[in-house]
Amino acid sequence: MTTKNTLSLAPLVALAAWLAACGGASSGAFSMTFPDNRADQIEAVAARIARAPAPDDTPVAVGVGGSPSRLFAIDLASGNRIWEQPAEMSGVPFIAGRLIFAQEGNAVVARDLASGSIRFTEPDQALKLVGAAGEGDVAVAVLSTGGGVGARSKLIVARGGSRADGRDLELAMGVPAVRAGMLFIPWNSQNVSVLDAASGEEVARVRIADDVVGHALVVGSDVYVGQNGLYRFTPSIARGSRDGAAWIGVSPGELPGTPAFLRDAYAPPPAPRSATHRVRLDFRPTGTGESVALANDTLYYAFYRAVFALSPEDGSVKWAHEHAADVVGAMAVDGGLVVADARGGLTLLGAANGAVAWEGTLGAEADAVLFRGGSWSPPASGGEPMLLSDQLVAIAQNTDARLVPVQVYAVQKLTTVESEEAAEALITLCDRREAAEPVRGAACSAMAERVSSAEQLIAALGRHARFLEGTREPPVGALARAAARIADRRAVPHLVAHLQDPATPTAALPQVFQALGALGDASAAGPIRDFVRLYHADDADPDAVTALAAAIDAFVALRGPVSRELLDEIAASPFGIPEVRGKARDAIAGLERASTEAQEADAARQTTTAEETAPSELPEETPGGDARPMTVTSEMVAGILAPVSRELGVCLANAEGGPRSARLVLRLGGDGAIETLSVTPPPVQACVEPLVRAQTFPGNARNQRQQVIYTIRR
Amino acid sequence: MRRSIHYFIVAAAVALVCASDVEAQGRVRQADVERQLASEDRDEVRAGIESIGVSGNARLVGPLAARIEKGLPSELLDAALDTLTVLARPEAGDVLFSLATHRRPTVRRKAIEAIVACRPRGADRVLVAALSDVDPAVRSAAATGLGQIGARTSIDSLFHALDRGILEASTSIGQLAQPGDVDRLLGYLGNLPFDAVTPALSEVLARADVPQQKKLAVVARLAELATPDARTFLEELVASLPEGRQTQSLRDAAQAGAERIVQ
Repeated sequence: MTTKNTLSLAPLVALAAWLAACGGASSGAFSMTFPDNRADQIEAVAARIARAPAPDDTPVAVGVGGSPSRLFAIDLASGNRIWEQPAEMSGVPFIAGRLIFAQEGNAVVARDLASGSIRFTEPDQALKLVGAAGEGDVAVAVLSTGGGVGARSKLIVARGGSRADGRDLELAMGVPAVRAGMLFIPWNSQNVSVLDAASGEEVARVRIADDVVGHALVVGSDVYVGQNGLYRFTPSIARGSRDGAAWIGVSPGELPGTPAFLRDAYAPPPAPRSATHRVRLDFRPTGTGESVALANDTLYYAFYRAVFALSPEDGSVKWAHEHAADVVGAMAVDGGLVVADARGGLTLLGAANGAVAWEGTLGAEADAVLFRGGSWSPPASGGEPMLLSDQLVAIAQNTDARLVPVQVYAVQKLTTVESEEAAEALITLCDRREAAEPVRGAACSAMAERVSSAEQLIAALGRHARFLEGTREPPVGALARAAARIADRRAVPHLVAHLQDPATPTAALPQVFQALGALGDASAAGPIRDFVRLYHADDADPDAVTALAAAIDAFVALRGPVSRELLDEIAASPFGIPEVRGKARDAIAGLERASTEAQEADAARQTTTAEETAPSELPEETPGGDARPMTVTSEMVAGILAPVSRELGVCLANAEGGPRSARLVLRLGGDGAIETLSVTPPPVQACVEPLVRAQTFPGNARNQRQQVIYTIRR
Repeated sequence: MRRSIHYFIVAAAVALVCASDVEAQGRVRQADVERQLASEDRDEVRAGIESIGVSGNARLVGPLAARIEKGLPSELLDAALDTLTVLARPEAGDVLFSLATHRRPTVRRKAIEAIVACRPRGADRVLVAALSDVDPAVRSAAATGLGQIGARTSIDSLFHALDRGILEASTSIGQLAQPGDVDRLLGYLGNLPFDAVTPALSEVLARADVPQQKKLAVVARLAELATPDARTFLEELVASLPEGRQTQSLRDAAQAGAERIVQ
């Protein structure tokens, strides 16, 4: 052991007391026989915390970076650099009261926070510096192997800037805290021993049976412990369980980089240049009485240059911020999140909307930055807020390849934003060829599910690849899916135009056909038929088989039994691609099955429903011996449609949702010509209409236009 | 057995020239050819397609177009397009217009070439549209074809194509340019690579319907350009112009222009 300071008498006395209190694991601090979760002891600790004045720590940021590596400290209140020292550290430093602990070489080095000068060093005994903390004159540092079985740790206590004690223990220790003259030491994953800093005696022990405790931390005047969740140290923690304790957990959902709420304190601590510092969660716990919450009800998530404010309950995004450089340190404050970036910038992102509310500087580039803010918060100004959709789009469009996972995440979050702007942004992102494929793919998938405005859709579909105009084809496949979802037939001519455009990628064609089939507009049947005929034997593009199969499905959906002619042609085509011919045969079989079912059902249930409008009240007799009826009745319609009743039944069976019936509204001219024909539900119309129009209806003796309503059933 | 398409085209062309009574021959064969086209045997279908080209029978354009629309394997479709090109009948317009947007670029290019050969009504519209094709070979064929069919209304599109780097548009511009377009063409000198503009200039200078003063303006602009390429071009122009009073002033101007450009 090496100490560079001169020990005064007081520390020697304290050391003697510590040695007595920590005489052995069997009876002293950390002994296996010490009772845990004793309510009286824990209440006394809580009361002591409550009585103690709030920590009066100078707000500082400590950074490490540069080459060769340097350690520096910034006074956050003044913005001044306090000092800078060369230091080759294997882990990040820890601010502990008036000291900074860092692991350098084979030793732990304690520096004076005010000057950067080395106060003492301690051989690390092949242990890792897990954490350090301090309050006033008292500081504690923990070195540990981590892990479980065979774990070793060392506890170093300093007073007045000098080493006062060092204890070796055969257990795994976590990140400590110091508050109200007590040391809070997590150990062996489930325990927190509270030691009196003066005597070294263990005054209370918490054991959480159903959770991991690896960290103790002080925020404001309160002490918190936890790792996956957070317990505020109140009397209720004596329950030894989340239930009934002042506990908070977060559920932000799956986050790229899977940052921990608090890092695993029993695993080796990350190196200064570890990505752990750049992919992180930050928060500021708060609470009164037996409650605990996160300040501004916000969990901050940073992924390199992207910062998100999330709801801790469900991970919904409150705002997002695209930062100019990697975030290498952050501290949640009442006003938002202070981030330190790799270029040496300090920025306050406002809690309400993520707008930049304050900017400062570290004065140097940094690999990792730690904060001790206390009650400090930078002077915030308003900042320029952006729409959340714009914030997410900015991140999704960033060209930094490392951000791809979080760009996909941003796109996914964009789908939850209910606004026209968000829907337009999804179209834009889906259309962005230079974007990474996962990002574009996510945007296209999201767009197909999210876009609800036909105008947006049609505007996007209206574009084609034109070399002279310098335009590219839009994301046709995703737009087709969206068109099918919103069921707006105005998209049909645009989809047909893309079907006939050779610039439309083969991979997008199945979705175009699916959309055309779902939209049920008979005008698409002709182009689909032409496509199937022209390409069914063209074996040059093996990827076209899927498109041709989708085309056959769409054609059958639109034409129902009438599609049989084309299907027979394709199935029998001697040069047809085998898979396509097989598809045609399958479709024929499907039609035949549906026909049989319809026939059976028809025999049992064919009924008609007639609701004549005004003409129904007119007398049925035809004056003057005219053979034409006074009016065409639904019974007449039933007879007229009888020859195609089986096909009509198949139309119902094949339509989306397989409706049992459909309502025809026929407007007949005085001569019996069908002027209009509407079918409900609409998807059935494309199939039913040609069958009905192919029949001949009689004129009426009054030679007047009339309406007949008729229900077809299967 | 596959045969060389090029060999077939040449053979078909020779047959067309040599046929003494093509229409009569075609009438005799029509039923056989239609039967062949409907065959389930590839070789027989191919034979039918090739025999149409050899017969030169315009009445068989319809059955061939119908067979194309019913769908053919890729190699038979290519052969059918070659046949339509050889036949050069405007009746093939509809099926060729359809094939000008086929998904395979090779088919589109062949369809453009066939349209140029057949010159159906509306060919200029389809070729102008093909200038925007996503495939460069199709664009080039369209640019070349517009000049070949004399589509003067396409001149703006051809200038646009030249702006966008379709160098085949240059020749067509030279073939189609009206006197007013020559000044526009000269504006490209110095802005596009010299080789991109000279095909158009060569066409303009060779055309009898372009006023002499416009040709002299071209020569003057080249002399102003005063680059080694311009000098070479002018020297070659002098060498290529036939002797005679009509070309004397142009030759003199070109000679003088070339001499003014320092080696």
